[in-house]
Amino acid sequence: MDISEVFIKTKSDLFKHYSPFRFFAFFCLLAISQSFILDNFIITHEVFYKSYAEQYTFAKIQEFVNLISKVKWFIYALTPILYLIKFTIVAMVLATGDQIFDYKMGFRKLFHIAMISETIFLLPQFIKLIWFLVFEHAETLRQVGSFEILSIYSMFNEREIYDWLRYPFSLANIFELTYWLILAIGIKYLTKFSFNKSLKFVLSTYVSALLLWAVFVIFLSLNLS
Amino acid sequence: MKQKLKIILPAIVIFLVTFMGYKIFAMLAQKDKIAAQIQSMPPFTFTNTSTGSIFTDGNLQPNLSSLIIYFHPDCEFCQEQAAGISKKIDDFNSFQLLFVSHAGSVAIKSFSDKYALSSHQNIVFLEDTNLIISSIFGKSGVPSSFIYNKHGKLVKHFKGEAKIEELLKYLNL
Repeated sequence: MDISEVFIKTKSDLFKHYSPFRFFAFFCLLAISQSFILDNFIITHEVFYKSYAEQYTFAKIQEFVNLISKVKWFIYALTPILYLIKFTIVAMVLATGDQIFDYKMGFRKLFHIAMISETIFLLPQFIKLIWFLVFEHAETLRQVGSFEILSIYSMFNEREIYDWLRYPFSLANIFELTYWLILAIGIKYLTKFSFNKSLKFVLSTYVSALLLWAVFVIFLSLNLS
Repeated sequence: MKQKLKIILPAIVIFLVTFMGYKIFAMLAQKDKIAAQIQSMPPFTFTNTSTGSIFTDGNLQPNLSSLIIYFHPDCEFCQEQAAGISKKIDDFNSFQLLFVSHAGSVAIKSFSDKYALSSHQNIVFLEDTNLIISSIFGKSGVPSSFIYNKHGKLVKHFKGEAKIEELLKYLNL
């Protein structure tokens, strides 16, 4: 029995009590809580003032802070919708491969796998919160934004990285790789294929789409900058 | 059909990645070229909105620091920056200020009158009639400020609104 099989057995036990709606609600609650802590206890008004002091007057920054304070509640409210869109896109990409390879997994199950796998991305955000709440006081927005733990981005001095490389370098991280593995375990659970075959499916569908997306973001950021 | 999709979909992905990759490298080369080009005052040709005559880099006063502001009359941040300069206009007397916009000359004149900047000898409002500013100074949002010292060397580039104190600090370097 390999690790993925142990994981699947544990997951099978968990699935006896699994409710997609409750899982989604709990996931969104966690994600919104993380954003709330980040916005209110780490990215304080002082951080805004220090970040923009060179560029804007105090009054202008105050105006900006007030606007952000109003808009952030709207963003929290939008979080479930944004995640629904993300899970749908990931499930659609996987479902396209499902159709082509004729694996008969179905969109609904792939949507659940995308949703469960996404929980891995709560972990780096949690580490970021702990880091800035306990170990380091945030001074500027750039300092908070550039905290990309266990990524290629974190291996460089952020001032040395070209703007257009920020996204691909932050995307290449351990959590993203773990996400691919969890997707593959989910595919294995659904299809009873070997782990390697499931991973190949993820690489040829999700990872290809991610590569296309990353290149598109670089293309767009260079066009707009 | 599914067999065809197995070929078509990867082909589309490869084509798009290759196409965008090629464009990315072309844009990076252009960015490098412009970054090197703006280190010294680049040659330019715009239209002076007050006289209707051609204004080039050759018309700049030698031995004076220059502030080139790329703006648009409708941009709120540009309006604030112009208002800030207008309030401290005396501090800018020993520098030359060039306001460049691709908006029409009527809108530019109205902007310069609104902030009482048109009557100063050291301030010129220019129209980018041929839409060439991005090929000279690079793609920039508005406002963008380029500060050149009296030797014509770039000392600072502000993307977005810049505080008046910061502009003066770099002009005085």
